[in-house]
Amino acid sequence: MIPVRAYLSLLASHVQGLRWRVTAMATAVLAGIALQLLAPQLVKRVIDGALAGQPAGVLVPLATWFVVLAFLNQGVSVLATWLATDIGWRATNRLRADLTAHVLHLDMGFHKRHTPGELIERVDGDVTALGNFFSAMVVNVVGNGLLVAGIVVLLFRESWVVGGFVLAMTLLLLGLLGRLHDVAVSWWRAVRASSATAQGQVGEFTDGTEDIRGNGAEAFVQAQFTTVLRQWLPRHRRGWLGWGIMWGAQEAQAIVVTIGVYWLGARFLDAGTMTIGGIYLVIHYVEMIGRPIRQMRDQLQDLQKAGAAIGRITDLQAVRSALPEAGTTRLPSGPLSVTLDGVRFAYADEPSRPVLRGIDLDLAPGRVLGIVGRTGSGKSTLARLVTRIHEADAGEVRINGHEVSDIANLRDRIAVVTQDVQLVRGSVRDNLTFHDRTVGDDRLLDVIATLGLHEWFATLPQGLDTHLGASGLSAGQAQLLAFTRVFLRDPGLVVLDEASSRLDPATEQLLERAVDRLLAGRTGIIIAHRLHTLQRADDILLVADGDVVESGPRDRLATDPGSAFARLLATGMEEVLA
Amino acid sequence: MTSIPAEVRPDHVAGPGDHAQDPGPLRGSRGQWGRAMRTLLALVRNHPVRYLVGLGLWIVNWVWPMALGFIGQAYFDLLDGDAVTPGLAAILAALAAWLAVRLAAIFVGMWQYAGVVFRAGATLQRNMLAWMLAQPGAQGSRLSTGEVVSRFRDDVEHTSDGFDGTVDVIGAVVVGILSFVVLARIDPVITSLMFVPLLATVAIVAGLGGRIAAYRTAAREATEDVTGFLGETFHAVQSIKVAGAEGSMLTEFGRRNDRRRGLMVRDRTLESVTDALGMNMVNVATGVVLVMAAGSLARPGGLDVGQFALFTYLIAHVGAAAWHVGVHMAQLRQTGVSVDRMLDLMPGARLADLTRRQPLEEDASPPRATAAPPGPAPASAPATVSRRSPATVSRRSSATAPRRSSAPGHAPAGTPPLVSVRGLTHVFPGARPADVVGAGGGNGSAPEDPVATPSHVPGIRDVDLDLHRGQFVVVTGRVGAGKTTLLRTVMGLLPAQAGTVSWQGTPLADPAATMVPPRAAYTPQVPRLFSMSLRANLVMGADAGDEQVHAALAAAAMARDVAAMPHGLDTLVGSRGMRLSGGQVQRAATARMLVHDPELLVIDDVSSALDVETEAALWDRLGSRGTTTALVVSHRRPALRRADLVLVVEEGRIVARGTADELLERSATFRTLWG
Repeated sequence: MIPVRAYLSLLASHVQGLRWRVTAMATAVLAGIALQLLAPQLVKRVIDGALAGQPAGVLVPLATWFVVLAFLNQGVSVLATWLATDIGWRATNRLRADLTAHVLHLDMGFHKRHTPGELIERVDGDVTALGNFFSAMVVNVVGNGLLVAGIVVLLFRESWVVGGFVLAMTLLLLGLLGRLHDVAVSWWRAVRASSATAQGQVGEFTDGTEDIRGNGAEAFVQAQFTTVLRQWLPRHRRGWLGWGIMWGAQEAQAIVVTIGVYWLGARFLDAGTMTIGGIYLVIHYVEMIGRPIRQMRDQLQDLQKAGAAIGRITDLQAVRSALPEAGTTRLPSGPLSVTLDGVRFAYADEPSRPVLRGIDLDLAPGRVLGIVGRTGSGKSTLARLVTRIHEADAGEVRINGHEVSDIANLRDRIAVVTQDVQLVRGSVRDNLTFHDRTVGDDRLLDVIATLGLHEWFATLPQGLDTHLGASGLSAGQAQLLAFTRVFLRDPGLVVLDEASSRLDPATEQLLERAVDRLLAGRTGIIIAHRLHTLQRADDILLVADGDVVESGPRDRLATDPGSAFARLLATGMEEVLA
Repeated sequence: MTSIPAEVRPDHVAGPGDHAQDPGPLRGSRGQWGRAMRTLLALVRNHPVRYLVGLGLWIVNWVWPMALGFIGQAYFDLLDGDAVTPGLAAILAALAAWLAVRLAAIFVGMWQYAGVVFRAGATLQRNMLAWMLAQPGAQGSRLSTGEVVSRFRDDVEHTSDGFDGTVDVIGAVVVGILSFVVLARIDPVITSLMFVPLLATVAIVAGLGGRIAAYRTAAREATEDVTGFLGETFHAVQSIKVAGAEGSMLTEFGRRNDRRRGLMVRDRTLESVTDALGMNMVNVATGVVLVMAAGSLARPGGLDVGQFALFTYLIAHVGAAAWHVGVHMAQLRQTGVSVDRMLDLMPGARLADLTRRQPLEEDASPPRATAAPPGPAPASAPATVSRRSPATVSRRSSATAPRRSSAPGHAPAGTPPLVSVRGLTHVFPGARPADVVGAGGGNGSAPEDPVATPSHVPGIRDVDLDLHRGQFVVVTGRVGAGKTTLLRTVMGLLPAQAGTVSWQGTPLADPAATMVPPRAAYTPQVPRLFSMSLRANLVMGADAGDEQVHAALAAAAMARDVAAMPHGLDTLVGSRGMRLSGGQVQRAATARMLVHDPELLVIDDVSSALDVETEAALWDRLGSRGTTTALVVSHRRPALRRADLVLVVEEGRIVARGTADELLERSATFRTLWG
């Protein structure tokens, strides 16, 4: 029912190296329990001692110890919480890091199927559920369990009958609360559902104020919201009443126990088997025992929730990348050659619709290839195969004669600039280096200068520290940023998916210059959206519906009046391709 | 109602994350405290009788446990051999009777007061919504939708909690005073001494409360930082992979995780200080009594065992009360922060606008009036008077006005244009940084949405425009030229900084109030439907039968889609219902306009959702209605060809106007747009 073992094995591997902390925490928890059990014993001795006429000189120090214990207990309980929280976060942070690394290495197909939001929930949400539980379990389940056991033992020491009675009534309460709890939770769930409906409406109305006001529907919308509130009210009342019933059950049980203990106490006092101090002690323990038991019950429920989280975490860990591990061949520095040999590819979600149907291509080192074709013709997919974001279903993709799957340092040597540049929140520097702190500012500024971007850079209000969340970037500027990213790594092959949106002339010019620098001394593949970009290309590849329509050196195709490329040049890209 | 044992309080069961708290920075806490008090008082005044009944019940719930102390005292007196004490049977019967009262008070108190608290929260929510809807519709909130929802949920909840807590504070104070009186009559010295640690509890808990709130904010920000970073990492996963940057991203992730751990531990530890304090201060107080009593229990005339039992029992109870008072004092500051945040959502509102009484009862809020909304309000007269002015012109009462008395584009002499715009100007007050393309890879640059991309939109300046009955007027121009802004400002969805909009010759003080059905209706560029039935979405409370709805659907080319829906017009749409395509939403929104049969249709660019043919068909069908006047944004040839008048907008100004043919000759800008 409760996957304690799975939980412990998951956590054990992440608690290593935290041994002294765990030891200290265990000590603090045990000390806290001992202090709580000890305090009532002092009261009993003071009462019995006073009634037996012992002198104040004996009793006052005992009573003073009681005060000292209270302060000690405060310190110990805070210490235990501190250690447990710290250990829990250290261990789960390791788990978070492992999971994130794992997910990052999974293939793009996986990332296509799972939204970032979903992955956040699985990496952080599930692990946090586990972590909350860790702090709570050690302190509350183990700690409270020992405390309850200690109280029961001490009650039995006072009287077998009283101990047995209290134990039985406690178990009875647990069973009762378990049932009431299910009811109360289901009622409370209805409250949450109403709340979610209302919040959903507010969100929609907030997004749709233009529609609402433009159609004069303010009153209607308010009436709709009021209707939801009206349905919510009785549920809210019932929800709270549910908790009231649980509270009432605890009160009732406490009174039943009190009646029993009063009655037993009076009889045992007459019989001489208990003292007044002993009866006081029993009542004190009876009051003490309810709290840890209720906490444990709640924790056990959380443990079940944590069980679901554990299941999801192990599921995620079990996902294997669709791409096998890369080989060991290392590419040399300098421009690279690219060869495609009968390459076929279809995306996993649409296997019946191949995107590429047998592409052949031979690109010599240092040459620039321009790929032309309408949207959906498979241009971008080609780029993804070269960088092994996806793997070809048939045929071979070779760089410098090696299969891409054999190459260990593929992504160090090949750089891709896509048209939608993915930015991360943070400074320009963070976006250039992906938080790699070993890349110095000198190096960054150097690259920016080399790419001819110093003028653009000068417009950034805080230079490398300019925060991108606040200032925003146009599509063209984002591409400039991506160029810099690429240049930093000095690749041998640059794949450039040109920005298709219209850029302002100034940015356009900057881009042109940067592309020149970027391609100098490198092999290039440009997925072109504009004709004049193709002037840069040495070779042309015209694709349509996943097939090569035409390929060859640009000069030859351009001067051959029968070629599709020449027609393209004559009539303009839009007319032919759009 | 917080005297429920902490373990059974819903917060404990609702699961993590359900109760996000955002106390905000601790600025001007004194003012916040005052605002919190004034807010709570106003909410009490909205339902004074209900509140007083609830208060009475909760004072009973706080005071009644004291009786248990007296029963305990009697029991120990009995054990100690005190002659005047009642017998054991009487004591046990008293316990049973006590329980009966206790249960009744708990159940009734829970049920009744839950309603009172709920009404307080509902009042805040409805006032916020009403205020939001009264703002210019396209102005956009300064706050993101998530932030708005958080104010409706979390800040309302914090304020409700503060409201809820008032009965506990009052109950706890009553218990404290009564206990003090009872105990002081037994032994004033011991009583005074034992109240010292209990009062310290109040002070410490209340004092730490502010810090806990601040720590919690920091901890939550660190969490958002971590989840935000994760989200971006997964969003940009392809870039990271091709850049081989997994390692450096993971290192950064580790740094942020470490920071979060530090803040989390700090938060949790301080919280445990407060939690443990309640119990331990009671123990300190008990210890104080024990030290004092140790000497006097045996002494004749000193404390007897029964009195000692009463002391220790009441200490525990008063201790819990003191702890609650401390917690609620801290909570009040939180309430103050929440009140500020809610007012933040209501530009120009005063506190009274937030707490205005809004009864929930069925007849208290009549559905939307089915009659036509008030006629145009002249700019010169106060709106309240003019709305009732007999000069009201609505299409149903203006049968005298000729519909299409002349060829389109040529106004009959003497008849004022349906809409006339003079010198209209709207410039954007400032960029809203969060929405600018860039962060989080959310580069979905919405087409020409001035709220989202202020830097590219110059607004509109000094626009003149006459719209005659029956005309089909097309506004065209480049992306970012100000077309959408023009439409929105004419509709009053954006405030004009200068210029006037007139309806049939009457200048409007508040165009938004007049430019609604049955006079005008509007479809934004990216229309939205709400999570209701399709019928409700189309009718929006108007007095329209199914026949009218079906006619509108047919005109909007939506009839076939509706026939294919599982429940026809009753199909639930919107984010919680059936997913409609962009084109379906666009056509549904068009039908929504037509249901109201307005005199003027204002439609922003439909090209993002409709292909050329569908768009052309839409204009054909609208044209065939004959009587409709339309102001639309489009850059497609079918619309431009059909237009009686084309307005070319550039940099927020109308740079050319005329028919398409005229403009092809005259305007270079238009020729570029024509392609």
